[in-house]
Amino acid sequence: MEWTNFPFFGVTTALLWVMGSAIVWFPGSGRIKNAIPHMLIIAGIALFGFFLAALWISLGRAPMRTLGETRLWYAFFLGAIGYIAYLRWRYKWFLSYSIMMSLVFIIINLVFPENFSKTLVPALQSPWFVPHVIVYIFGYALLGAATLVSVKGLYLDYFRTFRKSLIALSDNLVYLGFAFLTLGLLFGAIWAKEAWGHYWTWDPKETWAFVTWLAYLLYIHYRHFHPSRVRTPLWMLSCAFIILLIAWFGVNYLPAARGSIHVYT
Amino acid sequence: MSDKNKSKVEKGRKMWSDPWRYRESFTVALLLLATGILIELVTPHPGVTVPGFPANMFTGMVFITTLVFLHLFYRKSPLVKWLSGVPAAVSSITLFSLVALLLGIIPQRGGSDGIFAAAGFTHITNSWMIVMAQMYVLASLGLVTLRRSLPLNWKNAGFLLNHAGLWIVIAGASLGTGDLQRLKMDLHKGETIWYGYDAQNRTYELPFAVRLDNFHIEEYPPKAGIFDGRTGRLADDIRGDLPHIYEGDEFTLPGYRITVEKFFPSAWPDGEGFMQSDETGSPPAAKLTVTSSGSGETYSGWISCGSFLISPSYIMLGNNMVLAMTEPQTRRYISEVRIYTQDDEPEDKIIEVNDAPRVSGWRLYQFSYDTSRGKWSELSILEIVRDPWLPVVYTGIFMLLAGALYILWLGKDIKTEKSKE
Repeated sequence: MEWTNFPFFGVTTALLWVMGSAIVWFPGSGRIKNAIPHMLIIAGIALFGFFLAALWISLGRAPMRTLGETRLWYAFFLGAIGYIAYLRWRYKWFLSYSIMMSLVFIIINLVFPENFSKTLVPALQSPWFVPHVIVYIFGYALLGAATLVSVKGLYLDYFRTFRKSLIALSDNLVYLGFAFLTLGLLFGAIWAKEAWGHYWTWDPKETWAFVTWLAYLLYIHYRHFHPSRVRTPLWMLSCAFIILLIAWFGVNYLPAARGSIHVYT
Repeated sequence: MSDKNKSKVEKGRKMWSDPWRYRESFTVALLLLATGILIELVTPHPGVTVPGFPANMFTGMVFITTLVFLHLFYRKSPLVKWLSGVPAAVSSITLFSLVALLLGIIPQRGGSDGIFAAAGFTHITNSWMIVMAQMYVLASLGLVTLRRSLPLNWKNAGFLLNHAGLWIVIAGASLGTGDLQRLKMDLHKGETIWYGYDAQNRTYELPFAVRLDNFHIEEYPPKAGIFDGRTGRLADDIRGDLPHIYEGDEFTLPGYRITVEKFFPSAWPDGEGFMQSDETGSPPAAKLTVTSSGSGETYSGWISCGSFLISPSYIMLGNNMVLAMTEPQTRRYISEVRIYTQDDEPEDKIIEVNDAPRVSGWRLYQFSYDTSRGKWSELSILEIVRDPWLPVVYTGIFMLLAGALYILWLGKDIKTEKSKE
């Protein structure tokens, strides 16, 4: 399996997911009508998962090194988490949003295919590499989903049709996403000690990852102590995600990041 | 932020009257930040130098004792109540975020001039700003941890792991910098070295000695690509990864079908072509047959990325385009060393990236080599690190890891349990 196979898998998965999340909205019920979206979305997840697994095997290393590769995982987990959240809470809009976001990442990778190199520099040849990246991508996908909830929340709040149950969903996503961020940050610290001699050097990527962590920490504390306030935490969530995006790929463009060990293309 | 936090009750309240809320807390945070900047401006020496053992440990003990004392005897005082409360927590996290954000935006280069540098903005990691932010966080976090940890039971295990863990990490890492030593060692092949040097080139004698027996670099096979001969840039129509060169392999590049007739990982020029060689400075070389898919024309030739002794070889394709070999990427950097300690027998070790052996309280990291000679370098540079506070920091890190698993396990349950209180 190679990067050149991605258009087939990317487009097919996208079509399955779009059809699945569209049929959910169609009127009518019945066993077949209810089962079709599940079948389509699960087929999409399976197909994309197969592509990732086959790519991993053919590259001989985890496809988690370049931004393009991390986008593959992001697209996959957004779709998967959107579906799991749909199973759990039955939010149709949440499923559609997640899949729409996932499509954005699939399309970026279709339009800008990157170098998918087989080589892995020595520093990345570590048992911490795969867990570090996987937990981060999982965390990012959950927090990305929480951001969708916050945007929807702000929209509803503006039209005064906000429901409390919505922020409970974002709380859940943030708690889980935050736990993954913590794991990612600490795995990174332990790996840094093994590879670069110190667990924390305020490398720009580390700094921004830490600010991201603090931003969600702030949200959690604010929500915990002021459960009745809604608008401020929703805004906090949106701002936190902007910081997360800077930590994820914005860092590459910052003047402070010149010479960072984390700038990858 | 503080505007939004003002509740209706707060608006009619006088500033600094008990109990302190968000307005006072954020003012305190700003005052601490201003104090940090002021100290930087007033003191002649830039930044904070954390003292080494035992002064750093003593500082930590005084801090902990003060917190415990405040917790035990002044729990009801307005100041302690405020410091262990919500607004102090939120404002201290915000202050720490703000300082870290500045650190993430402003390029950090020590030694630059101007008021900006004098105020500490170009060496934030050891500035009074970050010290102030950390002290505020540690005071607030420490008091709330003490308050919530008693009575100790399973219900607050997650809380304790996360809060005490973070406290230990921040305190241990900050105080530990006083005893952290990061030195370099230049090892020339065959020489035995027992000292290291720091960033200021001061040398330090070490409790062990290292002799470099061998340094070598393992490489991935090189790749082939089509480049613009004038600019050296990769041809625009190449998408995806370049193919690796393996003997007998066939691959295509836009407009050409290429067969690898011969491949030597290490070769020396020989007349028109190359031959296998183990000489120092022997680059990889490959004999290729190239077929143009447009004209069907076939020609063959050698390509090589060259080395510090041999210049590169290309195959000309016309239109200023050349078929060339990229320099192979490194798979491993390996230093074979013999280590002598005062007590034990000499020991042979291998040092490579992500595999740093421990010797007499130090860890030895592969850091660099003579890049101008590449894989024929006879010099290996090690970074050696001694961090006696590492066990403290790792205790905190593992508490936080356990705390994160606790959150993953319980998720929403913690939240509902907490909000009942």
